[in-house]
Amino acid sequence: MSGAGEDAAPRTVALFASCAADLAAPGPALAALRVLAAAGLRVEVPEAQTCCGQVGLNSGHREPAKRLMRRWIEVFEPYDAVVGVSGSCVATVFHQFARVLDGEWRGRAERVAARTWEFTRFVHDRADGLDLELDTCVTWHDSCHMLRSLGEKSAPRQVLGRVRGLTLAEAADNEVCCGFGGTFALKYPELSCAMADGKLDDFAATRSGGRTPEQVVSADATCLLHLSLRAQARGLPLRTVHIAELLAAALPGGPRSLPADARDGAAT
Amino acid sequence: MSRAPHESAALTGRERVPLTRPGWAAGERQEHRRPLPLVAAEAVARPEARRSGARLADRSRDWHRGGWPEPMAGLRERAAAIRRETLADLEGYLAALTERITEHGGTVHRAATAADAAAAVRRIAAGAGARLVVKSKSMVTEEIELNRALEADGVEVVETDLGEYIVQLGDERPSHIIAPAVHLGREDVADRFEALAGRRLDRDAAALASFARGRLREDFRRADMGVTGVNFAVAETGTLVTVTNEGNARMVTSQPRVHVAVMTLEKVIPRMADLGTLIPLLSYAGTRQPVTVYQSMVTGPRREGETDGPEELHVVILDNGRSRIARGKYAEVLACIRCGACQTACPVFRTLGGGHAYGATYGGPIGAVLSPLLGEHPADAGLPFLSSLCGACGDVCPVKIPLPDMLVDLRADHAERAAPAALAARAGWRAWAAAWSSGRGYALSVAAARLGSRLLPRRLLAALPGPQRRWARGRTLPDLREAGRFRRTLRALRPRREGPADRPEEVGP
Amino acid sequence: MSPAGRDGAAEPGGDAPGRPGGVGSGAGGAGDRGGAVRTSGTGAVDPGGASGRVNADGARGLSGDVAAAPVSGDAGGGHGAAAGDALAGPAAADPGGAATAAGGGAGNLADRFAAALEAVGGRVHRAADPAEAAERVRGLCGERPVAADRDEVLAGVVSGLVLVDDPWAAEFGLTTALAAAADTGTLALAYDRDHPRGTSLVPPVHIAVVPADRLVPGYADAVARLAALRPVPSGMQMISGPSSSGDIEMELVRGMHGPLALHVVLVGG
Ligand code: SF4
Repeated sequence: MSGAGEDAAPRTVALFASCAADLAAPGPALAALRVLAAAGLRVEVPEAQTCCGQVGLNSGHREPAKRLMRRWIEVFEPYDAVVGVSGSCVATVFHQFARVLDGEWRGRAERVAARTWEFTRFVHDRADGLDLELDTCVTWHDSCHMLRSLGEKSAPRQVLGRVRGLTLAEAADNEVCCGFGGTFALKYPELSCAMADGKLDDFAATRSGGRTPEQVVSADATCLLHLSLRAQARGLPLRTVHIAELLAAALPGGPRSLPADARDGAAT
Repeated sequence: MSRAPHESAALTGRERVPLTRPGWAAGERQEHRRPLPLVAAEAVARPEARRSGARLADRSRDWHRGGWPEPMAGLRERAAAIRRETLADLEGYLAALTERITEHGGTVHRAATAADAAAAVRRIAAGAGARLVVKSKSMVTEEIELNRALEADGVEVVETDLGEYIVQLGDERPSHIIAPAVHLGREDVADRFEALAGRRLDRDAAALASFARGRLREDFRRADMGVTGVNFAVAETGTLVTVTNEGNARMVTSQPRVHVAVMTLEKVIPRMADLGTLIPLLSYAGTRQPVTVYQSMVTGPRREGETDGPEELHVVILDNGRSRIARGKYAEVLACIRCGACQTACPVFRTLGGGHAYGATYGGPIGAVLSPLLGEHPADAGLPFLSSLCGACGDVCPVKIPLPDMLVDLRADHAERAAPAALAARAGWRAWAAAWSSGRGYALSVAAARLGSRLLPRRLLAALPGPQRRWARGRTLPDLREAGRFRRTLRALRPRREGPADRPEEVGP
Repeated sequence: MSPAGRDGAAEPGGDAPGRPGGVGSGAGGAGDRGGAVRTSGTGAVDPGGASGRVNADGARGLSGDVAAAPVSGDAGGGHGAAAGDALAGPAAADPGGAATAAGGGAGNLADRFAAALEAVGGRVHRAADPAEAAERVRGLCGERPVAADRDEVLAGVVSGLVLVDDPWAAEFGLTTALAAAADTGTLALAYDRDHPRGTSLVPPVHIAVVPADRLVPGYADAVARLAALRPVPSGMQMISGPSSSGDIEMELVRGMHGPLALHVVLVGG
């Protein structure tokens, strides 16, 4: 990586929480604060941040989305490093901003995107001294944009591998979409639910050395929300946890086991 | 429906095959289409969809995990470059192709529209006095609805690709570019063949295939005209290449007296040598074969002294909006080599049980991009929304067509052209952007979400009109009482004093 | 490279159209996914392993105009005079020439050819010389009717067979091939008055007698052989195995419209 050499390792990072943190899933962003702080970093949360515009862009409303993209750039470009807790939102910054914006904004988008990290990758590269322990078995869902736009496959496995006591059971369809897809979930509810059901079946069949995963882990709160709310509607037991919440729970002083509802794992 | 007495041996008894398909899978594309979401919901609910989706998922799991290994990744880069080189001078290569074909004694017919192309083939058939036409698999003849056109003239048309034959018997369209009967199980196939045969048959795949072989063999000899598609047309030599495993294209291009090859204009490639790259790649992407069993290369009709091969070769080159597409921002979609990989890899396509529910000639990701551009039917403009944008299609595409980005961009084009009914939605999104561009507006909307969730229990909310009701079809509503907790917690954590409005929150180590 | 996309994702706004180069494509193996578990492809034969160069062994035995002047020589190792010259151009221009398969002598190629063809359901027989090849073919055909191409390579093979003109009346079709690709088990044929389309297609069994020195490493090399033919033949055919179909439940069935079986007798080498 050429964005920042070893010497220039950022000591201060801006947390990109995503609108999901404000609306429905504050847990991952709060947990990320704890994990990054435990790694000795100073974390700032720009209060002016709102949304990367992804949902508007993907719904076909490019101009409104671009307005939010430009705002995002203004908010985050003063920082040396930006860490986002939603793989999908980071992928939007990384891949869509420069593709969609024009004029000077394109260059600005490229420059800030070059300093923007997905949380898991950041922890992998920049926070390797963490003392992590959690007695659990989990499975990882490769959320689509993190896997395909960011090309990220190894960091989550390696980061989970650093957690003592944790067993990772890989699901056969870990690369398959959960069926959320933003407004797709509203436009095609039956299709979207059927896709989620495929994932739920796949999780149910997942084993590692005789162990059954207790939780589904991912780096996208919205995918996890979709899966767990589908499971809830069907009366199925499914527990999901964002990787930041899992790591926060694995820190010294954390519960070092996953609570039934990981929501408050970080809010201490 | 009464039919003319059969010229075809293979289709004898076709009347006895029961039609089991839904209307939207019919052989003839529907003019009046129900809204896509309704068709999709119906498709998903079919148990057949679950079974065929599972078969496709098995393939995709085996084939697509882990990306492109060497040396296929290198081949992919070269193929992507060859296809773009072609698109950069499409008319130049087409002119060369036409010249070579003509030199070798073939006749080239350019067709601007689907109707023109169908009319051209009808004229050729009439001129040749054709009564029985054998066809090898071709998507473009689906696009121009050739079978209907020829049948209207009393010409009998037999599909000879096993999958195409199966769907023809059931009056369906192909459901996958390279696996036309992928939506059916062997029991469905056996039912059709038994109805045809009027007796019990062995129900394993080999026996069923052998039954079809026996039935179709006679027709290859009896047909007066053969119709094929074209996988690649080599500008350098005027050579038409068809790629199959079954060998039916070999039969169709060698036995009947007249061979009509129908192609869309982007099928042209510069050189013979390019086949060394494109064929292994097409084979790998489509079926994970090192190469398919057969590649047949036709350069003109039979020559003097030759004892077989067609006496006449006609090449119909269809535009149907493609030169317009080639000049626009979606030109790369014409790089497609119709391998079907994007369909196999697409979880939406799989969950729908194949391509029928898309309603267009081409289903799946390539169809969701190409169909609205072709403008076959106004309803196709909605196809780019029939995707979760997971991106799997772009990953597996052997010629690197950025299908996911194109889906996003087509959605925007659609919204910009929106009918008055959609103006409200546009205004809504603009208001969203305006509100979320200011800290106050954002905070207000977060507070409103929280307030709403407090006042209205989720059960009630799910019953009220609005997007949340669509969410509630199958899913519990998210708990928006969580709204605002993030910022409240941050404020509680902040070491001291209120900062200025836009001051960043800080959390020390 | 951006930290966000460290695993092989390219810079945003990269010069590739649409999605920047490596993003999500695992392109070039540089990406994370390229380095991750590769469940697919490990067993795949390398179809791109064609050399851009013409293999010296393979170049022999092919005339610049095979159709009009069939390969000479009766020892299965006929040397066309213009071979090298006729091939050098197109083969060198072959863009499929980057990945070079492990080179090897004809024996090595024969083994690879046999392995590749048998993997797709064909049968390969070895014969030291044309006499043994003839014996092999007679062993396969017995007294049953055979349609055969007129070709120097087959001259010594057809005697003693029950020959018929109409391939629809034959149980065996006997041809040779202009080239055979070792990595994919592919035969390359060209049609003309002595080599009709029906021989290798219509009878239920296709037998090809191929001099071992017509082996080339990869599929692209075999394409290059055909591409070098002038005048361009009215029909050319690549064949890799007996016909097959996967149209019923995506299950492979061998034996569809083309031959149900394919035998290749490799001569010499
Ligand atoms: S778009 Fe790409 S993956 Fe889809 S059929 Fe065309 S070439 Fe194959």
